[in-house]
Amino acid sequence: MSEKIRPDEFRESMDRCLSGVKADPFLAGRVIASKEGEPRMKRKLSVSLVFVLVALLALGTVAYSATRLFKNVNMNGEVISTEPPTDMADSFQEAGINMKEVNDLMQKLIQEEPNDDVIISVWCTSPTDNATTSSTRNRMKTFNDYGDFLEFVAGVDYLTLPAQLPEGYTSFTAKVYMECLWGNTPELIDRGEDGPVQFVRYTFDDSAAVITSYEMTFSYDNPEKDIMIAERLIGHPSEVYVLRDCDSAEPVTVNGMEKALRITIPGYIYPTQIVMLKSLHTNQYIHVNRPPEVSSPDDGLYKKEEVFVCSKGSDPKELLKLFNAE
Amino acid sequence: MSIVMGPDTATDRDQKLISLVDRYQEPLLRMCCLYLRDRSLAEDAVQETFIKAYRALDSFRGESSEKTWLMRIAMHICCDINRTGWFRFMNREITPEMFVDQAAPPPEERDEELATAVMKLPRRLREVILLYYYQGMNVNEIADALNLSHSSVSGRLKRGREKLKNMLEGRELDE
Repeated sequence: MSEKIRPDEFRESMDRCLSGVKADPFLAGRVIASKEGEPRMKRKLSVSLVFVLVALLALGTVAYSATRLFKNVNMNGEVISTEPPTDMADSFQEAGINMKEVNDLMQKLIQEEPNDDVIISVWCTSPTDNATTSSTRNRMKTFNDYGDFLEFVAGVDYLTLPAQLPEGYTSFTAKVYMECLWGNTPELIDRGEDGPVQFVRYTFDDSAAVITSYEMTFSYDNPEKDIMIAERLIGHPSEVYVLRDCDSAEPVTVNGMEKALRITIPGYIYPTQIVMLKSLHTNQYIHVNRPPEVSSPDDGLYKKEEVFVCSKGSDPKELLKLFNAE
Repeated sequence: MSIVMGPDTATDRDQKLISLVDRYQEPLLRMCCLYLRDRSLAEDAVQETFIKAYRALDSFRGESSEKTWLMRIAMHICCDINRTGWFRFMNREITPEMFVDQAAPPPEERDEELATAVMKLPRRLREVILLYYYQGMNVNEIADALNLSHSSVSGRLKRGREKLKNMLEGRELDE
């Protein structure tokens, strides 16, 4: 007969394993300060008027070498190593990612953009810890004009963007940054603020940074809506996009999208998402799981490009119009 | 049930936020650590939880407990993190000792076995097991927090117990 673990024993076991996880005495202050430091957001929340649209475009590029055919490069695009694969690279290879294609794309993007025009985000791995993350952001490239941004991404034919700013959307910003791997122990500097959310920042040696992805973000303001759009392309291993029991999904038609789904996520801050998964790498797919009780299209293999269009409270049809620039 | 309703002034709001952080930060952080299996991501998730809670204090009507409300926010944030590129990059090797205070008495081997087994559970099962056994929430509260039906929560609890029983030699969770 099995020994029974009572809930109180369960809690005590977990607490002993989590003894190093302690409350941060400064958290409340940071949360309060985060709002006070965001006057635009404060106004937006108080009157629920301002529209925010954010599109995240992550061009998945993995510079970690998977075989000797490929090279590690630093943030300047210079070869820093031709070392054989790491565990992570192995996982990419096992996942069937075409490393040459990814590497070529990354090199192309690096060459197109001067170093001073990128933000560097770091995924840090230390010798003792499995992994820590940070979002150190430097040298951001911003766009003041949507046309400039479209021009910037013109060479990337698998980004799906509205062809023009939808009517009524006047304020526009965009950022570009690269995501890197860094193999040395991070040095904690301080908690730095990035918008309403603060991140732990680390120093890192630029020369050791290995670019793993390329991401673009843009946003609009509109005084009457509160919608968020996110779009991204990721070169990471295929990931199962799991719908929860309470989620629902249905096919929708969106210009420039392939097999678009509208997913409704009750309770989430952005309850409506439009998802399009399109090929970035041959043989890379995302499997959309569907709980049996949810009305949604058949389970299927959706290709790798991901497009998220998220709405906070507005009519989902508005999202389709928005993304179709209607 | 303690209720946060209609803060009148910024000071009231701040005080209520401070009170919520004081009472629920550590449970949320530990829950998020077990859920995300990464401390940095868990800290980000908890901070984001309180930011969202702070902004939504006015609209919280006390229809659920504060703990259920915060857990619901945290679970959605963790779920969202789960879907991000950052999370996909992480090394998911599970080692409970990364959460242990080195100055504290080390956990017993059976503690680590249990924690590892829980963290190896599929996400859907892990979240209900943690909410039920670790956070002490009942099935109705979990259903509310995760927006699931009562039967879904019960079914996941049952499957979670079965999986844990298979992973833990000679031990199982008490129903």
